[in-house]
Amino acid sequence: MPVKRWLLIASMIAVIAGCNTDDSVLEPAGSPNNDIELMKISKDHQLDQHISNQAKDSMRKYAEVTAAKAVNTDKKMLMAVEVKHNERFNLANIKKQLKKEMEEQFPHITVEFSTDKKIILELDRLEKEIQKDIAYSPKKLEKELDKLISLSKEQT
Amino acid sequence: MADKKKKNLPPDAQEYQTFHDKREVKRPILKNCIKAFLVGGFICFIGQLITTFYIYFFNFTEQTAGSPTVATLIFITMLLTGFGVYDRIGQFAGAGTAVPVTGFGNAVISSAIEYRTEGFILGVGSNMLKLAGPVIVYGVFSAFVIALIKTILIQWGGL
Repeated sequence: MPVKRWLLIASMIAVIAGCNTDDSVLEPAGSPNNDIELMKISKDHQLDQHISNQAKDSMRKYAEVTAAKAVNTDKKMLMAVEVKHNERFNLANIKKQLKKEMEEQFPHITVEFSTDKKIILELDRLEKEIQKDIAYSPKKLEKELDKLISLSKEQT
Repeated sequence: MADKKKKNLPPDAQEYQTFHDKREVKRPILKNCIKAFLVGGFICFIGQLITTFYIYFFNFTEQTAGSPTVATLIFITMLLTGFGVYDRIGQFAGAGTAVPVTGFGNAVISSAIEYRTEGFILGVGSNMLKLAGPVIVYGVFSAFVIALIKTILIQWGGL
């Protein structure tokens, strides 16, 4: 049956094309993406958040990113991004690429990267709390961040 | 193959077969597919709503919200099956209600209800998974095969 053979060949091509893992799925756009939803913690804040601010800023070069949240302590940073909906097919590769990029940009701290909606929501809440409370204690931040990092790593 | 079978039949039966084939009501495959697609999609939409609900209001991530979502959907199916609503939906939508996890729940629950009169051990206990058992067996088996293929591909192909 030639029709069946063609179907088989077509499905094999589809499978092979689907298996194509291209590492750099996001290309930097020409102009900075200003629609991205991000909030910078002010520089005068007692907690040093300039690493997170830089990290969030560096997401502006991708048109596909719609929101970027990040919070850091001296030793680690948790970052979460949201991408456009049709880009979610490539979510695993996008995560890999951006995580690598962030690790290269900030080699002296551990970078935890997530694309999970829950982490975005929680980081958003944390950012707002930090912004509101000038005297947000570093100890509390450390504790919150550890909690979120372990949440982002939960599998079941 | 159908023709071969036909030749072995007596002439009367052959005649009847052609008569029957002509008058038989054709299955509306496309219509059924569309119905199944829409209803199945709607069930998945409800599932997505439940997932989003768990992510926003409870301490679940996208990864972990799957299990409570499945539990909730099966609970809803249990109620619908018990009240006899799911059968109606199933009759209308066919595979649209059978393929999502609610179909699996329905298969377990309806047989549990059916065999209740035969007692809890030999009735419910032994018949509950009569329909769902094969799903588990072949689900586990095909997962094993896929895992084997994936392992081999990763080890040799470096995917």
